[in-house]
Amino acid sequence: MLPLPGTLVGLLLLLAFQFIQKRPSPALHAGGAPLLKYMSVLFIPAVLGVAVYWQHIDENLLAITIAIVGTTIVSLGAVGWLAQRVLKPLPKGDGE
Amino acid sequence: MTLSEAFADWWMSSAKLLTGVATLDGVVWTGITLVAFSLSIASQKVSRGNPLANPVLVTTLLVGLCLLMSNHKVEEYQQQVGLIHWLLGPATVALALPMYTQWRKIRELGWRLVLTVVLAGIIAPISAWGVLFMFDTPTALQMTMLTKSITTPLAMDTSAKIQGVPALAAVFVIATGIVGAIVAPCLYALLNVTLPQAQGVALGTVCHAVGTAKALQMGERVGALATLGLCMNGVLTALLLPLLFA
Repeated sequence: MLPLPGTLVGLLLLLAFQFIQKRPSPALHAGGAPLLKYMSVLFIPAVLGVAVYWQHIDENLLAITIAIVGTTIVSLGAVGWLAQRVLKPLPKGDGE
Repeated sequence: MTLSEAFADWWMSSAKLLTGVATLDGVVWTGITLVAFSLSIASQKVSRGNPLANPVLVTTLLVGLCLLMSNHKVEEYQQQVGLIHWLLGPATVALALPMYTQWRKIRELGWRLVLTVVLAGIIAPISAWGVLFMFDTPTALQMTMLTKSITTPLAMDTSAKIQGVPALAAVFVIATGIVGAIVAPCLYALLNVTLPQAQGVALGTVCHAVGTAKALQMGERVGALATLGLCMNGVLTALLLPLLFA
């Protein structure tokens, strides 16, 4: 069996379904939109679970901090700079 | 695993979920979590969108405080609010909705967009992983850090598949998002990144959901490109990592 996360497979299935449907389905959006809108609260149990791993984080705090803060800044800058040069403007009539 | 085994597996985990949640403690802690969340949304409005007033951050702190004060174990809390956690599954699948909506834009922007997203999808995780590698951190942490630029639900699932730690993935991802949301404006000014598409794509691919929220504040086009970046990078990285490392 594929080592893919189940939710990713579900996501791809829903994507395929929408391509087959072609016309947008209000029922689909009515069901999905609240989930997307309030997604933040769904992470709370997982994030609190980190308390269990606090010792691991603490031992490697410097590395993790540099990895997250440092590389995010560098990557953001690099990608922004690259995109600035690579992307041509969107076609006119796209509305600002 | 056969189909019947898979079904039995699903049945057992559903039963376990419901028995954990359908208790008085379950209702109480779910309620506390939701109230804390409403407070965090309010604080976000009051602070006019300051990225530090991130709903996840504030809610986590509030609930964490309650847990500490009541001396309640985190593991039990997680069982009791299992329903909230379970909803991450459908929420991840729901990401397909904005992805489809953005499809036309992907086609318009063509190979240039794909190239940018792919490069971003490689630079961000590899550099972060590299830092941990140089510091000789435990492998599980290294693998978890590889998922830091995918949107949270996908990051958690993917990290589980590559022997990382889902709870930590969620933390790394959100921290990445907050860092990016804070530095983006002055970073862009410094590097002269003025094209809205460029600003958006970078925020979306490197800082996913939180970055996209910031991008939406910066402008509609910035936000649209960020959503695109978020979705594409999320799917591509989530597909690639397990194939490479599972």
